[in-house]
Amino acid sequence: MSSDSDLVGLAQGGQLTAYEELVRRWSARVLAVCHGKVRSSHLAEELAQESLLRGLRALATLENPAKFGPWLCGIARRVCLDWLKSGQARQVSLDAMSNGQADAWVAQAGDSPDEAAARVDDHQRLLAEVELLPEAYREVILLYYYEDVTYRDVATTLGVSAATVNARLTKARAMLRQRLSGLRR
Amino acid sequence: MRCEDVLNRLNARADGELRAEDAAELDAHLAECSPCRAEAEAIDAIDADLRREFLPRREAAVRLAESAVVAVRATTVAPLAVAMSGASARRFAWGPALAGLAAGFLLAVALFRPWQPWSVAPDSAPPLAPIARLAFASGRVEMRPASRIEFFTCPTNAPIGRDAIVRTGPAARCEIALEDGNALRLDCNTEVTLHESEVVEVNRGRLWWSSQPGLKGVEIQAYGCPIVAIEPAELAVDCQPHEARLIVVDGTVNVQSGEKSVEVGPGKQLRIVQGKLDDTPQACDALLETAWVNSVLALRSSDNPELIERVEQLLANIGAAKLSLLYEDELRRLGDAGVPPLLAYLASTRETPSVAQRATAARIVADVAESRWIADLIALLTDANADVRLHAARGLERLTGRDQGLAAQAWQTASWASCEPAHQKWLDWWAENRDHYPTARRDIPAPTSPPF
Repeated sequence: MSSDSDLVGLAQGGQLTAYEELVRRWSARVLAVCHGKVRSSHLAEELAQESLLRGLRALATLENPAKFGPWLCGIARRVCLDWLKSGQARQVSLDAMSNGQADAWVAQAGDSPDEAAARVDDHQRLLAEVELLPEAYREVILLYYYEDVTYRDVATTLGVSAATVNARLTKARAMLRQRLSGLRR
Repeated sequence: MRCEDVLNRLNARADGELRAEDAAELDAHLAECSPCRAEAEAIDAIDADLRREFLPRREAAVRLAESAVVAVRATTVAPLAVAMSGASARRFAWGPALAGLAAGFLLAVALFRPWQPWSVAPDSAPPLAPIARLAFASGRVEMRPASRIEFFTCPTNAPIGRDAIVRTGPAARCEIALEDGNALRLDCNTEVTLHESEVVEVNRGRLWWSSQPGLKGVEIQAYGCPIVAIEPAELAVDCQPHEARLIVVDGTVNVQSGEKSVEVGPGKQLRIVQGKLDDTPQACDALLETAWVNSVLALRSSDNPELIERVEQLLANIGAAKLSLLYEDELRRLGDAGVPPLLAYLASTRETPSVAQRATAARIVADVAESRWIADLIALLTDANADVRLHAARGLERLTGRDQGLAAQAWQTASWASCEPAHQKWLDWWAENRDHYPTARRDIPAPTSPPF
């Protein structure tokens, strides 16, 4: 299997199929990054698409082809931050309702856990609770579960150590369990 | 090992990340600590729940990847040669390819493939032939292909398939280019269904269509009533919750409802209420009723013939119609995008300087033009129309803070002999400073004889 570095070189030389392969490798990661930033799966898909396109546009500027993945994730973060800074961030709370993220929105609206639980089923609740986690814990859960990755993979994406990933996953799972058990009572 | 130390290791073990040297120590602790054993089971359970919960998200990631791949393949422009001179100077000339790719075939091309389960090879289904493309938009436009139940953001240049629904947001107007060469313009908060490239249904909002020479017409449907141009026409359809209106700006249009058929001529509108046609078209100010389309035309380019023609029509009505301020408002609403058609109008009427609308055009240009039109305003200082010169001088003072020693009012009343020194100063100033300004025009011809 070709390395990212090889594929970037081929893509920069004009081989579209090489960029296609890079897209296949990194789409899940980019999507997880976007989901972690904007807390909406549907919006994350849109922003991830934009990020992949910007990666193609900016490929000539990538000086270290071996760092394609983190570089592309950096683009995704900037795309999300630009979106969050724009006026559309307020609108997404309304879009989130129509996109089936009503549980997340409702949970933020001050409802009691019982009221929030009454509105959504268990299947949606867990993802909604993930989206409500503080950013550091939300990111690590999303990166870990969007694809089969190791602590080192997640650590590289986040710029932290593998031990930190371990600690954050531990804490995130504990928070989720606590939150879900509180809703069930 | 203490229980407090165990938590991270339990999670690492669940994730297959526990080092071998720690595993034995952990097993020994678990053999003697039932609370930690319970904790291990709880961690395994939440891990299993999360894996199950994220299955649809993983499938979404796969679909995202395939839609992106399809979009990359849809690029039709061949990549250019790479210029290499050292690793740091490596250049990747994707510019033209990416200009065509624009914001993405990424999403919309992929939507021609029905969303497939992971087990289906993405290349097995042939893409649907597009019947239209999103040419350009001023904001977010969404599309729902026939095979989907969700709307997606529709990027510029994205192909649109048969029976797709396209809708604009509250701040977005757009142009849809049909494959047969026709173009549809949509106002904000508008939704249409593209049944075929020749059949478009307006579900809500406002649509504009104008026939083009040599092209077949488009059948527009509103509340089930087909609307067809009998001769070359410009029309708009305004579809509201309880009624639709057909507004004909030019040409003649036929509307049908069952056995009933009504022809609507230029400057007329016809209401369609619950699928039933009014008997008689009513007069209307078609130009004002369809003024929203001016900003869509300006998006395409400020010098496109359709926009120029509409600007001239608006100008012609200023002073000639009641409520002519409304026409001027529409021109001002275009802002700087309206300046090229106004300048084109001033240039085309230079031989008939006394036409009243010329002063209006110059006044609007003076108020809204940005600095890239400075050279054009300097050129207008030699116009035979005194009011045009006055407004040109006003505009230059607003944009540059200068009057070159001659107040704007003087350009209206003084002779050329009195104005010429200031004009020369403007020419000299422009020659010295033009590189500091973005400009559509660089050269200003000096008059060979007194212009006024």
